[in-house]
Amino acid sequence: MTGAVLLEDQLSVGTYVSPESREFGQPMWNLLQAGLNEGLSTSITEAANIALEENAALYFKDLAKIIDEECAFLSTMHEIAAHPAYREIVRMGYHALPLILRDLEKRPSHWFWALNEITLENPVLPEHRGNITAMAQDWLEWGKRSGMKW
Amino acid sequence: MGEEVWDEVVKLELNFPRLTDTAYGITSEATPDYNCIAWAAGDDSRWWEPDPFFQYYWPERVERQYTVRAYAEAFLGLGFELCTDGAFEEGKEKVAIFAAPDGLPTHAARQLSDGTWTSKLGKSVDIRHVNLEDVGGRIYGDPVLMLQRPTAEPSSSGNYAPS
Repeated sequence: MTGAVLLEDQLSVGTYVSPESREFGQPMWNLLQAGLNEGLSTSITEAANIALEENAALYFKDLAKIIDEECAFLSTMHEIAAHPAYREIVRMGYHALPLILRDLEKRPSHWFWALNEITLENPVLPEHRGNITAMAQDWLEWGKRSGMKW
Repeated sequence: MGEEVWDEVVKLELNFPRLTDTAYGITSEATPDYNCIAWAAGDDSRWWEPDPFFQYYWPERVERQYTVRAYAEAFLGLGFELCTDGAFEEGKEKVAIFAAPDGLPTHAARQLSDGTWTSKLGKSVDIRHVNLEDVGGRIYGDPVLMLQRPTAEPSSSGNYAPS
């Protein structure tokens, strides 16, 4: 999905826009779509990207908090990964990756299942299996090798 | 009792109501570093899980399946053998595997040298509890399999008192 489609999705739900407003805002909307779809850097594109990123970061933070609270006593990632909040993070896909890596860097935690589901990769060395700190380091190094920024 | 400890106690007893009014004790801080299976096997440095992605530790040559059989095999490889119950026996170390009603293994607990039990509760704390069934219920189901091995050395059952 492009950023423009995502944004249009968010704006179109439950939003009424009068014909006059739509006509007034059309030039700006055109500029936004040019930026997001054609990769042109515009101030509106930047603003939209920042808004999307901030929304994603807040959403991720809320979901992570729910997982921490409701899955604290579960003994397997198999059960934790089935929780709706965890599934939602996996559904965020690549948008979640920098957020997960940023969280891993702050405190090693059990995002490995999500990382594997999203990327289909497994950079965890056999001798590191189960060692949360070492697993986190393997994934962070994978992130750097992949050119990711977080 | 400090506020954090009180919050932990309230959370524990809400999720494990059978603990209420029993003489259990919190014996560690919360940590995601190891889970109940690892703790029951005597390992507090790794999270044990037969995940299909091969990211977590699972004993070699034991099938990576979320079955009671696979969990039992993990302990058989450590010198345990099947036994019939959790009654305390001098010179024996016992482990119990719990399962949900659908048969999915959910938890493992280890018996201490004084006959009480120790359980790591997910990413939360370790506790010492008097009866095996005290951690059973909605989250962990019930104990379904018991294993034992000769005690190699005395297990510790000290309490941790957070400041």
